[in-house]
Amino acid sequence: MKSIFKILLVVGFACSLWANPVIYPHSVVNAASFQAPGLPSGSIAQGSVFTIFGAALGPTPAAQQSSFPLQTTFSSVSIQVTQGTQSVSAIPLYVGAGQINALMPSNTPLGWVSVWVTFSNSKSNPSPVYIVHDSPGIFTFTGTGLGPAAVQNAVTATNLPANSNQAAAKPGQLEILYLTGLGPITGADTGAPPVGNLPTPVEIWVGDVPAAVTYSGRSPCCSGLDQINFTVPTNAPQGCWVPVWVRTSHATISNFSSMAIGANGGPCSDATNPYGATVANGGAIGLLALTRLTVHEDLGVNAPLDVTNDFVNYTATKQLGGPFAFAPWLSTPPRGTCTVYQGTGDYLSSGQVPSAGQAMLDGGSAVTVAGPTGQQSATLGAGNSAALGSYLPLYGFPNQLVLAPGTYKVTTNGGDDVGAINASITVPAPFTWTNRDQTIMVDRTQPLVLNWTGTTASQTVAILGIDSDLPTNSSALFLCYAAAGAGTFTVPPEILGAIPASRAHALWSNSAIYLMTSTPSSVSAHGLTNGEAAAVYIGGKTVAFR
Amino acid sequence: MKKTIKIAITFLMAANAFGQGGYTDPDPLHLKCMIDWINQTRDGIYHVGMEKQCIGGTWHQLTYIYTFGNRGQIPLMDVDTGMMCSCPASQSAAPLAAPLFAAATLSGDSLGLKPRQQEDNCDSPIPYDNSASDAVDFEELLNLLAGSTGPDPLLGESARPSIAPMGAHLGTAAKRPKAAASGSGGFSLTLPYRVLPAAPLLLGSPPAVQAQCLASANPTYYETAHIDAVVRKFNACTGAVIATVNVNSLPLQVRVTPDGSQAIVTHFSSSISFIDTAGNTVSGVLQTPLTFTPSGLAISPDGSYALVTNLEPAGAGGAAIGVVDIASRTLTSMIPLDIDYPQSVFINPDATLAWVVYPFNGAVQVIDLLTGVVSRQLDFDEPISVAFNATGTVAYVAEGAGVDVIDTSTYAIATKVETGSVPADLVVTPDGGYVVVNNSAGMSVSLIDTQTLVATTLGVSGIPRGNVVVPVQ
Repeated sequence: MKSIFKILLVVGFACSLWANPVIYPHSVVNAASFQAPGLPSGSIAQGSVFTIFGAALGPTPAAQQSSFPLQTTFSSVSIQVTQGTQSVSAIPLYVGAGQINALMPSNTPLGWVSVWVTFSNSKSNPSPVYIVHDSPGIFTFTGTGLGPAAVQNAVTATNLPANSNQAAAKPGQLEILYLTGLGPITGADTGAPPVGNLPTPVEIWVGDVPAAVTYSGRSPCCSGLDQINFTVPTNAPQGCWVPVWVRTSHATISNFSSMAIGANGGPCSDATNPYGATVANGGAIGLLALTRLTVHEDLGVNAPLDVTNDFVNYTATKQLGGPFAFAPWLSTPPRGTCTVYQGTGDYLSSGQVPSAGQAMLDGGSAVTVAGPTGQQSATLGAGNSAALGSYLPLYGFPNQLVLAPGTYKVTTNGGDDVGAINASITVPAPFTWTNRDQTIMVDRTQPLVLNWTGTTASQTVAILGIDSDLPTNSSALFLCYAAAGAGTFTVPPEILGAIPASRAHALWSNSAIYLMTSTPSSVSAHGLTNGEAAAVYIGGKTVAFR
Repeated sequence: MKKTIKIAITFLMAANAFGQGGYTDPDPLHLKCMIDWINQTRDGIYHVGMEKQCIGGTWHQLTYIYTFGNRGQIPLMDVDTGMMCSCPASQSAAPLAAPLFAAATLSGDSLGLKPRQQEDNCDSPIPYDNSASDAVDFEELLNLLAGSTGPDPLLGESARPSIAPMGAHLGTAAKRPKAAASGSGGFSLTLPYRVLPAAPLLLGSPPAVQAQCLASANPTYYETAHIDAVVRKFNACTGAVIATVNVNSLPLQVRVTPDGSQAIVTHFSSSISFIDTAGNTVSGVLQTPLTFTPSGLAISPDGSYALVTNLEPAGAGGAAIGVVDIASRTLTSMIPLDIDYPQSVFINPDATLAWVVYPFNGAVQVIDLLTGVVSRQLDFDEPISVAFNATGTVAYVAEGAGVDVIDTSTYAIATKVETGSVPADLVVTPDGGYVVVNNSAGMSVSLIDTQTLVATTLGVSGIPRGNVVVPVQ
């Protein structure tokens, strides 16, 4: 009898898998930024467009509402939002089997609500969502929430080209940025949206420089779609991927997008980024590095501990290019500025920064490193890297480090896409992070000053801070580039505020800050448009973001 | 607050197998090994329990009447089935004094949690094989951790994301170093203790190390003694009893709040106790209605509330999850359940879902905690406990003779890992590298590599009765 019962259960479960809509965990997100719920702008705003990911949520092929008034049931799909006994109906805008884009009504109760999808009279599981008054998400051309923003250069009232690496904005030019999450409206959401400034306080930064806002409210075209009209600051940094972000109510920071800015408009350029042209125009980029990574671990441990690793990295990628091309880590912000990469997963484990528009190339996996301490052959593995040595001053582990200062000959064997590389890499003496041990509790509302010595003007210094919020399976990191020759950098609170706070429980967050130097030189190989070999030194430490 | 390097250590407790058994000990020779709650029925204030025990080498079917309060059981009938059985002779041995092995990781501040998920259960028709259970096979485990035999459990770790200045991809591709105890009887560990910004990339054979339990951190754990109506607090480094706290009758499960200030205990006798862990005294008792039989217990990550299962048949006033406000020590709401006898409950890392196990009905229900609605029901073979990885993307369910690995985005079973007999408590090491399983009827402990999803099962002496995380130095 029990077996029969179990069979029936299994059959019923299998049937239910086919019949019932399913909302995946943590999958009700801002439709522009896709910010994970654990991130600072991961809540859903009243009156905003949001996305539901799941299975069997709607029809195949997908359908989209295209006329006012909008219906709360569309293509047999309806969305209920409940809080206790209170219930409102969200407005489905686009419905498909795997994804729904919908409008969260302006009168949705604040706080925790449950979102349910009903498709053809079958009801989904509930998904918990936190509703706030405002939470901005900037639309991006990459569709990932990172990279080029949906922004128009307002050249004239009728000439409004999309900002791109081929159509940079000029300093002082009026721009139109599209986003969602500026807050509720007073009327019905099913009708054409009202035009006018919303009362939500809005700030916008362009390359860490505040910009003047001339309009912030609904775009007249579309329900839930907001726009901000702003002027590019005359002192904004120039480049192809100048960070752009928004803060509402002096509290909630959006995803970090980018825009191109140039003195004369037209195609953008960034003299400090050797890969910019290849990312924009397409081509192959090869990066070979000898890296020393040393991390001071003084949070969550019994006693401070320094872990040091030496390894070799080699990555070859094909950049597809295009006017809205963007590659995290290659589409770097201008010197002296910061950007933030938010995403799903644990960036310090298996999570990845959202990326599009590039593909890996086969440049071979065998690497030989010959230097002052001898010769080593290595096979690149996961992460396109291979360990050369390490040192953990604990339990009598031996010191196996190899990357002492000096000149190293590094060769790769080449692969199907990229030929062999023969590079000479000079490893300099490492820099000193002078206020490292004082950098423990990082107050995200205050500027974070980082000081170092021992770098030269030829070295690039980058600062990376990261927090992985494990319970919500989300991460964010900030990436800043210091001006050449600088010995200090201040991370502004507008950047730190985009990083989730570390949890009180040491095991529920992974939080760290790294200072990184790179001493690059060009290399060439068959199949590469851009090749570079570098000695990289990374000094990091554990921190807690408060 | 001083942080400590901590390491997950599974204590293989050869404790009194009947400490939580729910009846008095009729077998001074300690040959019994079965307590079966499945057949219990409710008759007014009495429970009639039928238990199968291995006594004198054969299975006996025992029938008891037992009551709320602390009056124990009244034996009604003892039927010798004549079926041969064999039980571990060492079940009544004292807890082992030292941890037997360590799977490396870093724990948080909450130490000493020794959950008890189920009653002892050894009704397998397969007799125990005691021939190899006199001592723990250290060598096999140490070899595993050292990677000297079989597949290296440390290989295949997911690559870290590329983090690079100047666009250089600098994925660390960290491979955890390995360290093994020299000789037997000590610790073995892997490093680092969790996923931290840098993991050492040791090449070649690691040196032998001897890590020691960090006594200065005063790690502790708790255990309920069902019949004795006490909760014992142990030193996790030595296994010594630190305190014995008298509590209401028939304690079942115990959990410690995230701040370590309270231990909360469920009682089959319709109450929930709150123990002040500093003073080792009962600081409060929540008396539940007579129709509420507290069993399973889970505390929210923020320590604000506890979920308690009502181990009763479904129906009005029956099977449910009670929500207990810890600050006020009140039962604030009930989530009714539609399956009989919800035994234990587990909260996922972001506290959005509760997984309720029904070992007697072969089911697990996933409850949306905001609405109390069953989001999903899954079919298992006598599921006992659930554990999650740190991000909640993977759930591990102990059932039957193995552990199911569940993708929580789809609830699909990624794989089933074979372990020893009746896997019970599960602990995911804080670095996510391993799931430690005590096989409650198998006299063994299994270590599941979360990358390869391969388990190594080691025989132990006595019945392993829980896992606890302790620090080492």
